[in-house]
Amino acid sequence: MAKPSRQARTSAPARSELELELEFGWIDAGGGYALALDAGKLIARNAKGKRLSTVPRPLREGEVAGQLEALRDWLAEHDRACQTTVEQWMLRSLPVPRAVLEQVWDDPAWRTPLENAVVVAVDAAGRPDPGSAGLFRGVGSRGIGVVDLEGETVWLAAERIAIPHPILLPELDAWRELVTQLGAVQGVSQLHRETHARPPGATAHAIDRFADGKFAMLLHAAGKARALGYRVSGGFAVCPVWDGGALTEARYWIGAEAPDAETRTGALSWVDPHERGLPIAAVGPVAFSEGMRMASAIYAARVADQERAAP
Amino acid sequence: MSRDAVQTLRAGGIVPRGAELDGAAADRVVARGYRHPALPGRVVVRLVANPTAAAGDVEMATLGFGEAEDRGAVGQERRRALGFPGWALVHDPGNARLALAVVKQFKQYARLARSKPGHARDGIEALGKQLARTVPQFLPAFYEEAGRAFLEHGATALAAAMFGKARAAEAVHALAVDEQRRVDAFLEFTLAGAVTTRALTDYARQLADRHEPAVAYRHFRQLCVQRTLGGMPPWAGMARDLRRLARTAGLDPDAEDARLIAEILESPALARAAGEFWRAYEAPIVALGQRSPGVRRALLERFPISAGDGAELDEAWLDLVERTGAIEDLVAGASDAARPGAAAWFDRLTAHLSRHERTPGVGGRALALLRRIAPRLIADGAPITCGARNRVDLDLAELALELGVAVEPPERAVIDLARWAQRASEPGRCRDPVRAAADPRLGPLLGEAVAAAIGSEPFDSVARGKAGLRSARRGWIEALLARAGSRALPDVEDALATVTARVKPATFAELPDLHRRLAELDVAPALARTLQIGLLDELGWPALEDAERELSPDRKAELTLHGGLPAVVLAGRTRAIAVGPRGRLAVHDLVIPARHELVTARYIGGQFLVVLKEDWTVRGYWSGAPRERFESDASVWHIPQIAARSVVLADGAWQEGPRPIRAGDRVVPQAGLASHDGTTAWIAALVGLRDQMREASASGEPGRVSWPAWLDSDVAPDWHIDGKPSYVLPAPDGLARSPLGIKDGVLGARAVYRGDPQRPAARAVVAIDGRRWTGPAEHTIGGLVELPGGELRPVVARAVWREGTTTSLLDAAGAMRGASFGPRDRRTWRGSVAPYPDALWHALAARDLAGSQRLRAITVRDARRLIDGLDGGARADAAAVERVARELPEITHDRLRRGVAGVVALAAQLQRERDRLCIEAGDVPKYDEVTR
Repeated sequence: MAKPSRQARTSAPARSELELELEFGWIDAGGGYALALDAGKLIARNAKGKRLSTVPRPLREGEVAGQLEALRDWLAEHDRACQTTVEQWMLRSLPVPRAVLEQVWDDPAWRTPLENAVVVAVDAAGRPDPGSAGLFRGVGSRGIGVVDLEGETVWLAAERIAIPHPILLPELDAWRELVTQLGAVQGVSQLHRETHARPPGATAHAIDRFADGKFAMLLHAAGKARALGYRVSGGFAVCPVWDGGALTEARYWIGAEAPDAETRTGALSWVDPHERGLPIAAVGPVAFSEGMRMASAIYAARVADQERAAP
Repeated sequence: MSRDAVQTLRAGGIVPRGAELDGAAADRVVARGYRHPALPGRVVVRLVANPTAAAGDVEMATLGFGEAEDRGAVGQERRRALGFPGWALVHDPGNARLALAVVKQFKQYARLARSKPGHARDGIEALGKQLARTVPQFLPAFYEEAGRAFLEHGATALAAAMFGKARAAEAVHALAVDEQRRVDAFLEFTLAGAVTTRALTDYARQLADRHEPAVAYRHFRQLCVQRTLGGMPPWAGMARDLRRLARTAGLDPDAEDARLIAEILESPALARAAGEFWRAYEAPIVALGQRSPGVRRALLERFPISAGDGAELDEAWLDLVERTGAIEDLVAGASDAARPGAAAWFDRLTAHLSRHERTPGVGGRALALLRRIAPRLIADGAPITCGARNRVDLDLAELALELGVAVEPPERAVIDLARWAQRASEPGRCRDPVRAAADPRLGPLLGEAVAAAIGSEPFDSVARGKAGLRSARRGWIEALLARAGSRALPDVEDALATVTARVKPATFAELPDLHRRLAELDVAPALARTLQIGLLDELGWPALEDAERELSPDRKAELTLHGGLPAVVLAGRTRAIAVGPRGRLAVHDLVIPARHELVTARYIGGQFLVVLKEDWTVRGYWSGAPRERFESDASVWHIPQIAARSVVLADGAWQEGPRPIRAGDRVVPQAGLASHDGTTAWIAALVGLRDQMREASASGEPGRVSWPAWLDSDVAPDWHIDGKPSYVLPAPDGLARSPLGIKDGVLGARAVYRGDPQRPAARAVVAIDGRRWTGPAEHTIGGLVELPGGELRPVVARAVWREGTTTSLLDAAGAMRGASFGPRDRRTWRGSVAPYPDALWHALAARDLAGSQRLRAITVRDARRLIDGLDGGARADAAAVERVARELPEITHDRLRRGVAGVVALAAQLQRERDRLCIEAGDVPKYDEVTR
């Protein structure tokens, strides 16, 4: 299992020119100079192979530099996309074909969110097998390699694998302990994700706690929602969650007026697969928790109401 | 297996290659690996839908990646809407290379959508023209894809423009249109906020033109339904557009309405539907509600609001709810646990109907509804709040109490009687709140509300004769008179001003005994208290008084005081004299050009800094070169006349703002200095909601928030320093005594409070010499002054922008003001050159110890003898001075005598004011007597 090159690099002390040659992918930029990317930063070396402290201006403005910068931006976008996809698999409790995980594993952009996530095997009927749960550590010829709560390595060969939402993990504390013991880092926020338990006996159809949050422009509220990874549909920020065998969508009203007009947030509600409102009592635990997480994160970005804050 | 696989697909997941999908549209997902020469050892894996894999390869090639490594199919995913160039690859493979040829540039422009949206648009339009020449059929997909790039970065207007171009391309090039694809595109962009309602109405017309009526209706209806379900509230004209298409298609519009409503009624977006929507679909909703208890429950759960809505929407909606019979359900009682109780529903209704700042409280509709559901509320025994956002609707509460419904107002509730009174003309409004007045929770609120509203119209007229308000009005006037009767002159003055402004004769006519108490209000005890507490004129500044005599021998010329310690400047029209605590410093003949006015003056490093203005232009000069005027861009309103805090530094520089001023500096004074410890300057800073201090560098740059050492010492744990009155400053050279305290060449005071800065629980002041005072928080005590006899008095200073500072002396306990000294009223500082702000009091000294001691011992009898028979008029001041000289011979200092006389004249005038008010408010014959 090869470590991502980035980690290897930070631990390396002074490097020889040969190492430099091997480590970076130098692209000829003409005149004997070459350019490369070092952890997202543009670097240059001269004809003698010496790395320069700064990139000379003509090189910096050249075509090769432009292409490398476009590459860097694309890679950042790719990282984000992989992260979001894996997070969606978790939020929607979507079983993922094992073949997908095996094929993407050697790309660090995929591996970062997947590594050390708690995963379970899914049986042929689509039911997750809680007994198979383990920390995702790698892929091999025998399937997906995981470490279970006893610390034993187990291979999962099921056709489909799922990443359960933390609110569905019965032994959350034990998993947290294991992760700490192993010194493992989770790339997807699973074990330390904030969760919200549904209040018992709720009769309402909506949560008003995040209502009346002011944004100077609707644009700001929608931008915040998008930056947090949520889609905006109609006047709502939405968070679709696959919960209890049905697609439930949390919807938080952010306004549907002109993008540059002031807006105030409204209620947080949930809809069923036919997009009809659900009473809170009928909302699944994951959908409830994720809806609350979305609304509180957007609400937190509201502007303070000056009139009310002033004495 | 197949069922959960289909659901996984729908949720956007990937299912295994061999999964059965019951015919659901799906594409194979392939994994493709890419390597890049700049990324040695790294592989990038993309999961792509098989039909568009080639487009992905092109995109990767533009970034310099090598040939794709096909890792094979890993699963299946839902067939996605094809973008660009995907659409071209699938629908027109023969021309696909033309699409791929522009992909590279297109992706580059799309990346610009965030940072340079204008450039992105120009580039995309240029590419669009290129495509239009060869493959116009690609344009709709191309422009929509561009629109998505803009949507991703929130550039909705540009996205809308791209969407418009896609539609225009269809028309201009007469392209064959897959209507379902177009409906999907409309839906996608309308849910992203990039389609106006006008464009939707236009689309309805186009559909009617292009298709069979039934097909046009089907498409448009699908768009309307999905748009609403997707989270966009129905637009005002939706019903009209739909019905027109339905009629053309030969369908029964009523049946279609009912079908539509059944599909969208439970969508959350309807909570934001406009009033027109509820009116347009009232009949089908009512019919549905009458049949279905579930619909009635859903309607009760819903409190629709929409942008710019008002009573019209509420009326439309409540009509509808009532006609379904939902209110009867509520009255019949909870038949299942999931339904909120009637009280909870009514509270939500109250809050909903009073959501607008401008329309206070609920309409007559809510009053009528309360009557209807009262039996249920009483049976449930649950109280209602009768208010929203801590404002109680008094009439609603009164009606509830009358009906026997318990009322529990929200926490920290208030009643707004001024608004209440404005609704007198509405039916059922402005009832006599007798029950609310007797209610243990509402009664006190009503008392507070009367205090705020009394004296205003229409409140006074509406309140007349209402028993429920009489006791509250009585309580308020009684408290006012009681305060005037037990305190000193400032409270008598306030009470008489309040009665003048807010208590009308008609009010007194209802409360005759209070009118008698006003007539009996005795000014003499108040005068005695004022004199016992002390006057500013007991302290003097001989050098400054000499300067006044020189500049205005007849005391008629207008003099102004400028600067601060250690050098104030007294200015007449032509001459300015600088005076320090120990004597005169310098004289300067002012050089004021035509059309210029004096703004202020300072004495700094042996020169006068004179600041002038011509209209709004500020100019200054130094007395060493009075013709060399410099201009300043400072606002004349921000140049202080008297410095609140000032200090002369070791090198002779003067500092009263963030930066020191040295003689010759071409600057004007600026406020801001809060403290100085001889080496470090602090400037005033509001941090959070607390007044604090910030260190300032020599160039005036603000630094960290901190306190000078002495201020910060010895502060008890839950006490906070009030940074406004607190300070330390080096004492002016040679100053040995100060009535405000001095120790080891340092001046200072530490004012502290306990609790919330807006509502402190207690206050304390410690002077630099260790004298201290602790007391109530009612007045913002900022310092302690020592009177000539050694008595300590708390001082309150209130600075008003562009007016100046008014200071007050309080009794030793800090409970009442004895007298206030400020620019507004000269009568309380007749013996002083100016109403010195407390910052200057360090320079003052006792004038007349025996006279001061006599004032401390003054009795009510003495006071009565001082004012009885004193008339107003031209000779009032001279008469008062004579009276003081006769009655209080112990006062020997002329200026103290003048000061006391000024206060005596004020008291006499207040007594006359009281008599005038009594006559005005009295019965008619008395009034006639006076006017005759």
